[in-house]
Order: sequence, then C-alpha cells, then structure tokens
Amino acid sequence: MITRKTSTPSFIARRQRWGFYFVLPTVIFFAIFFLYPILSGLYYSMTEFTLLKPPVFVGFGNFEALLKDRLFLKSISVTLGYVAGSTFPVWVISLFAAVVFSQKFPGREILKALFFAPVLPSLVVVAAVWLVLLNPSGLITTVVRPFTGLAEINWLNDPKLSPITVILVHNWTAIPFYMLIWLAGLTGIPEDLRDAARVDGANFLQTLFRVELPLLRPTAVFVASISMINAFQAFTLQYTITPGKGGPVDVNTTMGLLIWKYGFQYFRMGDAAAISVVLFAMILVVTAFQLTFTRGDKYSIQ
Amino acid sequence: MSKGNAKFFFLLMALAAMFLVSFGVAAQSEPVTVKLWMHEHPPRVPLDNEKLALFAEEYPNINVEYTVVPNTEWATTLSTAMASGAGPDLFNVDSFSIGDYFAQGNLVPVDAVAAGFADQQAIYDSYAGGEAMLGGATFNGELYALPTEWSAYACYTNNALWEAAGLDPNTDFPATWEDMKTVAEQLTVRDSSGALVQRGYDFRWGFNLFTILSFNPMVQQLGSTVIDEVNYTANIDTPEYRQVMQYWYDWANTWKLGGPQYAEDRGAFLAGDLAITCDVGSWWAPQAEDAGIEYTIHPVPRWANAVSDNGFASYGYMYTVSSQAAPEVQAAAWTLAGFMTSFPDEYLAAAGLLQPKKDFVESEAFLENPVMPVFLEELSKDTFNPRIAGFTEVMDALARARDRIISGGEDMDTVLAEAQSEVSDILARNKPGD
Repeated sequence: MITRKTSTPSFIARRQRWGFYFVLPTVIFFAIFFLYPILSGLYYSMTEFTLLKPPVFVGFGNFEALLKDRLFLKSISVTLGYVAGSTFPVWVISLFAAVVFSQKFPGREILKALFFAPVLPSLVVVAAVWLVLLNPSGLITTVVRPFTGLAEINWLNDPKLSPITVILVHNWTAIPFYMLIWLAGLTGIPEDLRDAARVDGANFLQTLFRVELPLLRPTAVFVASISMINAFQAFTLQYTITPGKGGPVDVNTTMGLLIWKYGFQYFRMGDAAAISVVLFAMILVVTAFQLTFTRGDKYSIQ
Repeated sequence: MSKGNAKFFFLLMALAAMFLVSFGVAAQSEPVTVKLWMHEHPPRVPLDNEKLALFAEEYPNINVEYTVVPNTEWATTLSTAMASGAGPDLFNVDSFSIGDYFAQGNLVPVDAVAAGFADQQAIYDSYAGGEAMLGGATFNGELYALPTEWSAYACYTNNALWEAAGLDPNTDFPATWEDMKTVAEQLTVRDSSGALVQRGYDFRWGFNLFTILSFNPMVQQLGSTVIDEVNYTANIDTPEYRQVMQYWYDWANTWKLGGPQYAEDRGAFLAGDLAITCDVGSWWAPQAEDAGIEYTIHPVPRWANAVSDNGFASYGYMYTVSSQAAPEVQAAAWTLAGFMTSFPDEYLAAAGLLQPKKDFVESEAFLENPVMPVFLEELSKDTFNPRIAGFTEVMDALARARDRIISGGEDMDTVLAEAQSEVSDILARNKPGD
C-alpha cells in the first residue's frame, strides 16, 4: 500500500498550524473590534457610568430600573411599530417590484435605474430632501390636497401621523434596495424550471407561487433578516428628520435613538449599555427564530 | 580643616550650587503642553490662531495644542475623551452642560494668579456687573470659568416686512406678549388656501433647549421659575407655568400664528418669511446683514402683569480647566485662559462674541455700537440658564410635556402633573452628593 507523504499527521498538523496563522489576523480583528466591545458593553450595562467618572458596579440594577422606565418601555413599542411598518410592507412591495422588473418590457432598464435611484444618496441627504417636501404646505401636501382638502398637514409634528411619515420615507429608500436583492434571487432561478412549469400547463401566477417563490426561500431569509436587523437598529432617520430628535412626544424615539440619548446626552452610559444589551437580545431572538423557521431544504435548486 | 580639605569642600559647594541653580532653571523652564478644545464658531477661529501665536511668543514654555470640535460632536467627543483620560486640559464648555461637569468633579476653580489677577475678587471686579455678571461661572461662591462669550437674546425685526404691513418697528414694536399677538397677526400673510406664507413672530419650537431659554424666562417674568438650580426642584404645575403654556398653545392652535410644524425661526427670518425673531444674540447681526435684511433690535417683550423685568435667558461659553490635568498644566491653562480673554474688543469685532469686561463695555467704541447696548441691557436683567446636572434630560422632559399639550392635544392638568413628577425625579437623581 502506497501512502502519500503529504497525508502524514505531521503534514496535517503543519497545515492546520498554517491555517491557524492565516485566520489569526481575522480572529484578532474580530476579538478587538467585536468581541471586546460586546463584552465591555455587557460589563458597562451592570455599572453606573456617566463617562465623566469611573464606572461603579451595580449588578442588574440598571435592568431592574429599565422595567420601570417609561421612556424605555415606550421606545420598545415605538421600535416594534417601526419594525412592523418598515419590514412587512417592504418585503411585499419590493418582491412585487422585482417580479415586475423581471419581466421583459420596453424601457425596463431605464425604469429600473430610476426606481433604484433613492438607494444611492445617504439617509441624511434623503432626510434633508424630505424635510423640504414635508413642509406643512409643501409639495406632498399640495399633491394630496385634492383628496384631503387640507391647506396644511403636520406630517412630522402630529404625534399620530409622524411615525407613519417616517416609515414611508424609510420605505421609499428601502424598497428599491430589497427589490434588487429579490431580483438577483429571481435571476438565479434556472429558466428550465419555468419552462417545465409552462409545459405542464402552469400560468404566470402558478409559476410564481409554485416554482419561483419557493425557490426564493434563501433570498427571503436574507431579506427578512437584514431588513429586521436594520429596522431594530433604526437611528439615522429618526435623528435627522424628526422634531427634537425622536419627537414629537417621543413617538419616534426608537431604542437605537434612546441608547444615544441616554449615553451621550444624559450621561447615563450604564443605562444606555443595558438598553443595548436588551436590543441585542431582541435581535438575536428574532433572527434565530427566522433562521429556524425558514430552515430546511424542501425547496432547493439542488 | 586642612587646606586641601577646604579646597575640596569649596569645590563641592560650588558644584552643588551649580547643580541646584541649573536644576532650578531647568524646573522653571520645563515646557508644559496645554490641550485646548474650542467649540466650532468659524469667525472666531482665525482670531484664536492669531492670539495663540502671540501667546507662544510671550510664554515660550507653554505649548498649546489647539483643536476645534464641531458643535454636533462636542458632547460626545468631550465626554468620551474624558472617560478615556485623553480629554483636553482647557476647554470651552457651555453653560448648559457645565452643571454636569461640575457635579461630576471634572472642573477646578480658577487660579486667579495664574490667570493674571491678584485674586478671585479682582476677576469679578474686571467684569461689568461684577460677581452678578459672572454668576453663570460661579458655583458655591467659587469661580470656575472665564467667559469666552456671554450672550443674551433680543428681538430682530425685518424692516421690509414691517413696512409692507404698514408698521414701523421703531414705534410699533410690542412691549408685551399680549401686544405681540396683535402685531404678529398684522404681520402674518396667508395664501388663498389659508396656508401660512409669512409669520409675524414665532417661537423656536424645534430645539428642546428653548424650553429653558425662552419658555422658562416667560414663567420667570410672572414671578415663578421652572427649575430651582440651588435646591434641584421643579415648579411645573403652577399658575405661572400654565399661563405661559396656554399662550404657546393658543399661538399654535387657536390663533394659528406659528407652531412646531413650520420652518425654524432663524432660517425663516433669513429667508424673509418671518418678521420678528427673538431667539438670537448679538452674534447674529452679521448673518442678518449677509442675508440683505435691514433690521432693528428691541428688548424681548414682557407680560403686561410681569413682576420680573427679565427677557429670555442668558447663557455663555467659557474656558474651564479639567481636574484630570496635572497641577502645572492647570496653572498654564489658566494663564492661557487669562491671556485669551484679554481681547474683548477684537472678539466682538471679528466674531460677534461679547466678553463683558468692564473697561471694554464702558469704552466709547462699545457705547457707540448700534447693537450692543440693547444686548448688554438685556444681559444685566436676564437670569442665567439653570446650571444643573441632567440639564439635557430635564429640557427633553419639558419639551415632551409641551408637545403632549400643544401637538398631542392632551389634557394640561394631567400632563403638567406627570411632568412635575418626571422632572422632579430627574433632578433628584442628578442632584450632586445624592
């Protein structure tokens, strides 16, 4: 029996050692920039820390206090409302747009480019433009005036209307982005499968629901996870577009924004860290649930 | 002592003397580096650099590392730097956050001698109004800061808009809040659909800080005060507070003369869409001029039944020295602060910043300035913003109460009772020593 020299244990050990060396920079980078901050955050969540004085360990005191903190409890409901408004509609509408743009029709590429345009500028620029558009007597009010009959609408200052407005502005930029991801998923489905469905007599809707959507499951998992994580961490739009950074009456104060307020505005870094731990746990649970729920290879191209 | 021993002894003494002298010189000339952080005010920066160059000539052993921090990043940058022990030695703190830094023990009292004065009283005596003028920089009778900018608000009028409405700001400007409503109505323009095109006057709704800078002083005019900075207590559920809240409510909802939904007042004034703004200081005059607006300046209105003759709150930016700095650095920092505050005329001329030094405000140049005497008069009557730890949290809570009533239409009794409780809790939590 001939044994190749390269398969001896010493060679494997050497290869493993080299493999370890190759991943070491990444491991060090991860440890410094991810693991250390996470562990620090966990530690600070159990301290009374103002940034201006050394932290004092208080155990789970901050978490207990959060249970009675009206602003924190409100931020949870605000965040969940924002997550609901900026994910489910986005999934459906972006998928619909992707299906439309996956069809062949004249001017498709130009329309697709125009549809994708809102993704390009940063959210801060988007916010600046929308602030002008959402002036009480501005363009949007003028456009909807035939339906509302109102000369002025408080898009951002009405506590009931403001969260909806923020979600609409977010969705305006998010839908094209997720549309592109859905489109990539649709493009990845072999044409043979669609042809086979058609040969079997399936119409457009049957092909969509019976062939394409099941095969989009990996894309759906990605879209759902990324959009939910982004929504839970919402900060920029609420910071830039809402009155008083999260107002009026805190109806736009998401947990992300509250972390910033507590940490850097109120010098309550211990409480801010505790909220970030809660937020981390919420995102972890939701993402784990999504991954578990959508696991399985019942529908797979392979 | 033998002759040889005596020679050796004198040689030893001479060497020791030389060593001590050289050590003393070295100790005296040991260079010190002062890290100076200033907030962003573009017109001030070139003058800072010019004066720092002069300082370097006069004090060659004190090096200065000068950093300008953007205003939006100031609080975050400063607090995180201090947390990591890498903060500045001398920094330009504002009167809104000085309470936090003081309560946390981050500041040291002014070293009067290092700053170029005989003692603390000599510093007070060098400012117009003395100790009262520097009340915003004083805690428990000790001076903790030297002002880089002391500011009071007054009202600017857009003369063209007044003329178009058939009014003369010099004779028709309202002295009371009751009259302000009447005049603002005359200056308000609406389009055919009823939408506001031009406002007469409006408050600064979008910035929670103005619950302290303008709302609270209106309460003070009536004889109460929202925040007692000495005892860390709140007085929200009071008749005076209600009168002001009702006025603001009516302004937005009943009289529809303005409100939080419209463009912020400074920008609207510069765009020619607002005839009066009262939320700006003397430093704003160059911006009004750059916008091509002819203006007049007037004191902030008082209530007809006012018991206190104050306008809006005064506030300031000031040099403070970090308690984290080494003692020799602290002394050098106060030397630098004393030097930098000895050019009040130039800072007013170049950057519009008022440093109310007695000699300066009594000079002919100052008295002949068409703008400054009104501001100085208001400054002498106004009260300083409360310098409490937890300032931002308190003003956010006050803004929340305001918005619940004015934007949310909630019941004033309920909201004020809850706000009273919430702000009291914040103050109790932040009270130094508790």
